[in-house]
Amino acid sequence: MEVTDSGLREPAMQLKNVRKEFYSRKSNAIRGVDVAVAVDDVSLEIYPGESLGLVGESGSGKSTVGRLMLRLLEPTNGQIYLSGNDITKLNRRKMRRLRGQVQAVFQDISGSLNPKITIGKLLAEPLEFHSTLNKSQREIRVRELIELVGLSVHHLARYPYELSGGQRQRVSIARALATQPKVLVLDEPVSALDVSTQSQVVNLLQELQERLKIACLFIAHDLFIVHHVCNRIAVMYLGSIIEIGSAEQVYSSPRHPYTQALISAIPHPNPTIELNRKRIVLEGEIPTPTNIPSGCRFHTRCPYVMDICKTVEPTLEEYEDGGRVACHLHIEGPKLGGKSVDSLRDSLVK
Amino acid sequence: MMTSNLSGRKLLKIENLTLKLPTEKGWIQILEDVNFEIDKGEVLGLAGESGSGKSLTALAIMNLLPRNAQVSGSIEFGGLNLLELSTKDMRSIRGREIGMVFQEPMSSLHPSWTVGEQISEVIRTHEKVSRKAAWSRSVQMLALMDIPNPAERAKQYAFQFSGGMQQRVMMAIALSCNPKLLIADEPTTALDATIQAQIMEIIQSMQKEREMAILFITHDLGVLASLAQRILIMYAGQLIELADASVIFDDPLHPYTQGLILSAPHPGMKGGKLPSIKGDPPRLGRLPSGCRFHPRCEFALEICKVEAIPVTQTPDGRTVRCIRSDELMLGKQIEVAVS
Amino acid sequence: MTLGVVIQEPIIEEYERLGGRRLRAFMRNRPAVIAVAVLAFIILSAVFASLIAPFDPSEIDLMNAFAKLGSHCSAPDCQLVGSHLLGTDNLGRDVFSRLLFATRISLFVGFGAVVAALTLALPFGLIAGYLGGKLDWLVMRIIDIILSIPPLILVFAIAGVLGASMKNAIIALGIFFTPLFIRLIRSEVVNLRNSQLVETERAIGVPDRYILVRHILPNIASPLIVQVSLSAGTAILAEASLSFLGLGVQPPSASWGTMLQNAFERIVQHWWMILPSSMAIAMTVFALNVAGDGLRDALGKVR
Repeated sequence: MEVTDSGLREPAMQLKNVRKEFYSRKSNAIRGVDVAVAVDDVSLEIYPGESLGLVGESGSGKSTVGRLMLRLLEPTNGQIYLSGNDITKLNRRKMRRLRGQVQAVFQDISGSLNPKITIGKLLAEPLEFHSTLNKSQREIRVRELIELVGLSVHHLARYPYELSGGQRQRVSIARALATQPKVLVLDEPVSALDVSTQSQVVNLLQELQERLKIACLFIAHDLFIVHHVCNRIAVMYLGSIIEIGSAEQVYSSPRHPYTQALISAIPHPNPTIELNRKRIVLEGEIPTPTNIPSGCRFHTRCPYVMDICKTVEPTLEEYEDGGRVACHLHIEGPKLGGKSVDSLRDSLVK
Repeated sequence: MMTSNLSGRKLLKIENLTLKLPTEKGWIQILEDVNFEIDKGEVLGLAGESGSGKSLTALAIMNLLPRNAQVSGSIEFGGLNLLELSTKDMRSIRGREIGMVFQEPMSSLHPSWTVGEQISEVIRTHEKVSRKAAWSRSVQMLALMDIPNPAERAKQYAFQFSGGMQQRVMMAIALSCNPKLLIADEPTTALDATIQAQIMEIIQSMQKEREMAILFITHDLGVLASLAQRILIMYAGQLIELADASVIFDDPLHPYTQGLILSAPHPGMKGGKLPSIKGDPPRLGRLPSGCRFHPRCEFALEICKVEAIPVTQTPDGRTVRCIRSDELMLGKQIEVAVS
Repeated sequence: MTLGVVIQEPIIEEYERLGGRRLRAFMRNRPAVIAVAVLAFIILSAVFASLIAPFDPSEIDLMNAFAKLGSHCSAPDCQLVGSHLLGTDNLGRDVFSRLLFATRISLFVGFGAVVAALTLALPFGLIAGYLGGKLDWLVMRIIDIILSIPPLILVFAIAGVLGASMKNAIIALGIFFTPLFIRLIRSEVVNLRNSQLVETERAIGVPDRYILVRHILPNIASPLIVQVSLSAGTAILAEASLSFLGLGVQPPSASWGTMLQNAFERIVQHWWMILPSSMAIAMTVFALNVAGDGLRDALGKVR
């Protein structure tokens, strides 16, 4: 819940202590099961009209969080709330009826759109199952939708393979908006697009989100885009949220060393700045979710690691601006107490 | 065994490279009239999006094109025209004089050979060394790529390495015979951001140590900013701008270059719309008439829709394919957008 | 620089439909096109058998038994139209007419078995593949058991148990092909089950049965069609084998298999008699295989 001028605001979507485990047979033994903890005790809220960015690399669990929100996967533990109602344990039929309120746009690499069906029919499909419109009413709405995303009615008779990547993503967005959902989960919606098309689609998403006041979860690995488009950003590492705060704060004064490294990893397009800035390059590989390090899960790669980090897992602590971070550096050692970890940068040996 | 002879020449000189592929509907033009050079020890960035032809340019250099491709022009490498070499001679160039790293390391590595065996194979193909000597060199290469426990890891298989590690193995293979030119085709695109940074560091240090020339192909201009000396932009199979890295970001001459630079989000851009280029990259086989970029260009005039645009050299030695480049003050617009 | 959302220009040029491209790819495969023409010819001759056949296939004319190709009929009231194109068999029946009607039967059994198998396999394959779990496991184990029996023995055993007749031949062959089809359908469905396409449809909230029929089925059609056309050849061969051994179609009905058996018994003295039926079988199966391969190439290549 958030306290605003108009009183308490109910989050559109909320995850509470959600955990997701995946099981696979042990690769190096005959019996036994490997447990991969993809999502470990994650709690977050998205408010109506806000856009929350979820950033992380492979193994971070960000895509899993998206699918848990959509209940395409079942959580091992924890609760999921939609507009305050617990939807964690709803059976398939009841959940299906609610899906009109929580829609998704995925990355289009292998094709989210059935190549055998026309765009028009694809757009009408969500309406078939989540609205009471008859056929001709659906046709009208489909025309509205195609123009909403910047395409024309000419495209309705086309097949997906006749459209470019950017256009297909627009169609996917239109489909997701057909039922006027309260929540929209976007899983890497622009990663597979050409750079020049990415911005187009990002702009479209931003405009639609603001206009229609939808709560969005924007899952991406590109911090730049997320910073531009989202109100708040949550950073995940190996299944856990290690920092969350306003987009501006997370980006310009990151509190967690991993966030700092992520930002540093992206090259700056200006050569002068790029050549002169001090880059932080992490050592080592990203651990797999089956072998999460003890204590702070980031300690194996952290440039500022202290002894306590190897044994005690830090908890998310909140600071005045509402931002939260899970890192011992704020409480022990340099005792940053909410200040950006950038202030420690010069102490790095490299 | 062919060896290139450099003495005073450019390491790589590509002239009038044209590539066509046959399809149901006839030949489609993949590359048209591509010209550029790479100096010894120079890093040339080749940037473009899908359909630009950048990857096929790399394959053309390595003569790894599909058999029914029609290539014309010349690719001169240390005095030899690579397009005219026999298969046998080309094979001795590949791996020894020119190394290549691809985007998906998992698909390029042999699944049932150990990593050490793969590196050794390359060494023994080009040099007369014993198996033992080749193996110890393989281990050395792995150590050079900062792979911990190289002696043990050399005995492991590709699937036992993570994506970033696999890419290091690819580089170890590519650099094992100390090539003069490394072609890197989107080597970091499939990797996580923090791993990308690691690989870029390795590439940079290798380049400095060995004074190796690199043709670095990517769609991400930012990556080229610190690595490349010059940057070549391709669009729809044509070269559309070539300039020093230090100049191109502040002062692009072609509207497409400007569009690319601006639409890549960078710090200091909060709020408002992201700059973008309208429309989509053209599909090969359905190229627009006249300037291939005109349907997406803000500055297009009638003449741009009709006339095929030639490449021009500016007085200060830059190359661009745009008839309006001298009047458009694109650099100024960038300043405004960024401030 | 364009700042802002711009309306896309509509694609005015005509893009060819995927179906057209695949058809043209198939047409370019000369052998496959010829094969289809041959098959069409065979099927048409079966359909219009009663119009084309000069004689009644079961009309016995013992006086004229084993007549050579092209010989006339012996009866005094025989019209000029009666010329035994392919000679007569041991009972004086016109081989050509018998062949035409046999084509009907053989094609009916062969195609019928395949179609029956497909009809039975689709629901099992789709549901087992989509739901997975115990049902899938059970179906697969049953299939394993059935397929572990050597095919011909399986077919003969079933036909033997049920009794020899055309209907039972179709059943026996159907039982043989069903597990094969189920396996193919199931594996295709499993591939698609985890695809982005299905995930998207589930996220939209489309019920599972619609996903199966609308999204999965059309996208597994290609490999299925290829398999069906190749299996049809096997089915026709199997029918011929069954009838040859007396386990399938029973005389006096003619199928290629029974004609072959008839001819085979008298091969020493009248060797030419095996030619019509064996050539019919060979031509049909060959054409089916070539057409099936052509389909596989055309459907696989063109996206």
